[in-house]
Amino acid sequence: MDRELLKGSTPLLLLSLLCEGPMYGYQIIETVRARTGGSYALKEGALYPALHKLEATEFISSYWQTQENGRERRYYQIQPAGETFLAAKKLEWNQFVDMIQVFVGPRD
Amino acid sequence: MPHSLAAYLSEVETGLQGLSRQRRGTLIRELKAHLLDEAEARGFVSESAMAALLATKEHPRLLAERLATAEGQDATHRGGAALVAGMIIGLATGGHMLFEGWRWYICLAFASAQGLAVGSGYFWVRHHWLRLGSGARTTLAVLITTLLSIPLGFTTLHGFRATRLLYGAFTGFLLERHSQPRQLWQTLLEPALFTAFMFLLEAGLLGRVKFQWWKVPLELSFNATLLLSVLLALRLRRALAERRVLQPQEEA
Repeated sequence: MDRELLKGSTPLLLLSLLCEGPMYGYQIIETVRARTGGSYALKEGALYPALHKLEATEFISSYWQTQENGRERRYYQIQPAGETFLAAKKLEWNQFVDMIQVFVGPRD
Repeated sequence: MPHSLAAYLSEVETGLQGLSRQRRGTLIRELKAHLLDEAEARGFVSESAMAALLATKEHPRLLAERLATAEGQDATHRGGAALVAGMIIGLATGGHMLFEGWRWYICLAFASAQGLAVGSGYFWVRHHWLRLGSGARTTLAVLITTLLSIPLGFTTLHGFRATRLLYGAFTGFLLERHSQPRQLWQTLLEPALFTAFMFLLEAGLLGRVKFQWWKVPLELSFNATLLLSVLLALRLRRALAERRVLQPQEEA
């Protein structure tokens, strides 16, 4: 898939995932990979800057949690500001998809 | 920890030298947790398996460069947005005092303390308590902005005045409460209640000023200006955040 198309949509994708509940980095990568059938493989060098950017804008927050095996994980959790932003962008996204489909046609 | 993982993380850390020690530590801790999670999920327990896993990853120097670039941009955004939002609050309140007829240097001192210390300071530290409940967040915001507003106490012609700190506390209250949608009646009531409280305290309890009716619209309009500047600062900060999020990540 064209990387340029994906670049701008990574934050929206992450916010949508975090709407389902708090997630940690590897869980996010695996969830994206599974849901896209492997066509979108997020790398650490793209995931963490995107998550930290969302955290810097206070759309998400993070916390550390120790697992039963003693290892730690950093969980990310969506904030109300992130939910509001996502709702507005979802609307715009749907309008955009509808508009493009007028020209390129619906999925086969 | 497997040797190959330690070497990988060490090389990433070398590439993050420009960041603070604390931030660097957090990033490495997170990356380590991530790689151990992945190794565990894929059943890679041996040293050779871990080395094989790391061979599929981005080069540590490239990864470090990407992380460091993003960190720099985030810090610029956070600092810039806090400064601009604080300046709005400072300019509005200082401007109102000038309109009221205060001496220019008092207005300037008030605007600087209110804008830079209280406004920017609040925005700078707010992310630390985002996960707390609404009540705890408001209490913390009021406490922190009261502390940050100590310089406000000196913005008088008669030395330190403790009641000035209440403007800082009120600013913190407004900033935190209006970070979430708020009912219109609550928004309208807040400056009116604070005005009444200040008169009760200064004219009634402390007897420091004489109550005169003509002072009421002045005090009320000052508190309303403070409220409007807070709303504007929050809106601007939200707009800057949205712009930053939609900006594609620059490649290192």
